[in-house]
Amino acid sequence: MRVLFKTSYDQDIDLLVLPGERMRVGALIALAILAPLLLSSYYLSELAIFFSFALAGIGLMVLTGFSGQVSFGHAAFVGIGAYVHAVLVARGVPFPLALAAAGLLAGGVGAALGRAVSAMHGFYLAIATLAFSIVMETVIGAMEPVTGGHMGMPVPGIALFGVALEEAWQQHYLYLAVLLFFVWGVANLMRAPTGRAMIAVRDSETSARSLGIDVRSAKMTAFFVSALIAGVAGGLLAHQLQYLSPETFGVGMSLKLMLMIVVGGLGSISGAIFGAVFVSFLPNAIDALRALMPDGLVSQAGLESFIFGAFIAAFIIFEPDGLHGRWRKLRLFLETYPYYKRATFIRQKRYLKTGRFR
Amino acid sequence: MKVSERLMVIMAVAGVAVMGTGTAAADPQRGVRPDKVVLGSHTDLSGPLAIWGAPATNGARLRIEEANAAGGVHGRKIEFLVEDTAYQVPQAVRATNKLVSRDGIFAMLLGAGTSQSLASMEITDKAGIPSLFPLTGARSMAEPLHPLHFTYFVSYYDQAAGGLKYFRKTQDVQTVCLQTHASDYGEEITRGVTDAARELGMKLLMVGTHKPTETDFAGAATAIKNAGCDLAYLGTTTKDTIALHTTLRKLGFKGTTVGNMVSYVPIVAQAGGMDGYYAVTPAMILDPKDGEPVKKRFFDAYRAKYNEAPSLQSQVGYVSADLAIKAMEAAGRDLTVQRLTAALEAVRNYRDHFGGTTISFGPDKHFGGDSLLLMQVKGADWAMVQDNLPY
Repeated sequence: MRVLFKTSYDQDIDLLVLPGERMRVGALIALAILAPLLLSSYYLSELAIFFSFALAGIGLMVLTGFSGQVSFGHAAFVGIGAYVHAVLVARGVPFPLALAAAGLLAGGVGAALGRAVSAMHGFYLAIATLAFSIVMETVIGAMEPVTGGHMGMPVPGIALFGVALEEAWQQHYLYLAVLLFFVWGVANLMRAPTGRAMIAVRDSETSARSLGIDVRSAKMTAFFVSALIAGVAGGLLAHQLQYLSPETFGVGMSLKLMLMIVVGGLGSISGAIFGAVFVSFLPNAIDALRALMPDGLVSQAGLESFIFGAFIAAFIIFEPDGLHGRWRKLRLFLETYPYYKRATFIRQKRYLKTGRFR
Repeated sequence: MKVSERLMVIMAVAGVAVMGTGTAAADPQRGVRPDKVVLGSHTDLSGPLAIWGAPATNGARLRIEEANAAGGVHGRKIEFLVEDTAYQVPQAVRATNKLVSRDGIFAMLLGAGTSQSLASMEITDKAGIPSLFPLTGARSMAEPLHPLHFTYFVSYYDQAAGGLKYFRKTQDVQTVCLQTHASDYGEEITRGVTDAARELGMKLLMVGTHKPTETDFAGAATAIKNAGCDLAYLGTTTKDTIALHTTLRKLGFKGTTVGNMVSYVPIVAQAGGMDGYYAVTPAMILDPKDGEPVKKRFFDAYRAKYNEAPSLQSQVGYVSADLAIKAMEAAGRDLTVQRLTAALEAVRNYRDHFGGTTISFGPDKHFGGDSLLLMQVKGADWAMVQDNLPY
């Protein structure tokens, strides 16, 4: 084990504590900044969609991973954000204002939903959020004068301070900046009292309440922040989709987001990013693998969904901590070799039995 | 300070490099090489519209392979790249991005779905790539007129108009009821029926909508019956058409029931109790046994290749590919987008030999069909009631 010697109080507020962590995150950001040099515009547009989904995943991670509130309807917030943003931009509102409005409105709706479901747990919460997303899809479809109804609406291009961002590399930097801003913001939030309260609520509502935490307002805050981030992600995604229709933000996308954070690993920001990598690029990987597969399999319709499902089932059975958990175990294995023991990662949850109000 | 300077340099270099590659790749014509021409398609092979996407793609592939076996178009083999979207807009956008930026297609053929095609066309229009014969009857595929958009179908909107006009004339229908989906498809049909009814002086008594996944229509059928209309227009698909029609008849509804091309499939005719149901369609399911060698040849070739009988969608795919190939042949050896669209606009009275209506395009008409067909279920089979139905 590595022992950290702290030489200044500033070190206590470092987001990345270990030098190795700093190296890795720095390398990743550097790689993202260099991406336009290395990739064609097709891969940059794929990356932009990936950034949007990663951001939405971080939003859901705040709610499910950090606050323990399951949501099977998060695509609704992405949808609200996408539509608000597209409608505002189409009416000439500048991009940053429209994106902020999209986030705030989605956040407001999220907070209202959070207030309504603050006493729900488990299945009931899952069903309430699912129902919310189905209702939202119908509402967007019915708001024809604003949203174009089921016919959908085109999304105007991005213009930042009067400069049209048409090239893929320009959009790449914009998306990267927004993603990094929210990663940084959520990382900070999670060690602030607000975030700590959310984590306490996740681990045990009884303990949280006995510590003087207002459970309901903690949940509402979690819903607000989570929906806000999802809304901003929706605004970004809208420009990549270029055409919005209510069906896009249906149950399928909600499930995709949920799978993303489960496969990535609940309870960590890197989990959301890992998950987004998995969900976004697995189809490309399967596509590339097709060249190596026997002919009969290649033309099989639905092959992609099958492999997708198989991966997810394998994760839930063999690695419930997701890709992030696997990565932590691998690192500890290497660092402590040959003294690695599996028991390190077995979570002690004695309080669970008493911590229930349900 | 130093870091930010370095960053600026990197970004500037990145910008220059990207712009450089953008201009360097100035082909004579994107997607056309001396020995081949690349066509792309974003379609649904595994989602809810796979019943359209898969056979249409198969039909198109059959026609393209025939053309390649015969030496290609002006010596160029056709490469047909198909991407599965599972009927999801994000997937369609990704597929289009891939086909446009990585594969460099010459034209998009048979894209599936309305929103999916509209999203895809946002990208292809910017790149100057023609979008040919998408698998949807939405009006937005050919209207407003766009130099790069061509569709094979007469729209759902005009199909509704054609049907209502016919029954206004032959049965003196005064009142209409409409039951359709709460979706883009349903909205299109609602507009078609509303406008046609107003124009023909008919009363639209009620408009009912349901979710595409709904299975119980007792309520909807009762509402139609109680409204007491002469004609019920069903803007439905397969299962809900059968359920609605049979429920209406069980309740004793006496009026005419009419649908459009989506319900024009053998399953609907073969379901019990569908006798008398009408469908307005721009294409006709071929009968391989009526002696015409063209039909039999297509039927046998399709069956031999895919191990199943061709459907209406396979025909649509085959005919669409045929139209595209004919246009590329007419465009000559120096194939460009302008020449292709000009050749398409010159197509007049094209016959598909499967029994469909004639197809014509023009500088201000970018949808193919010249007229419609009215079919009716008679004893578990579709029978033609009216050829050359105007709309």
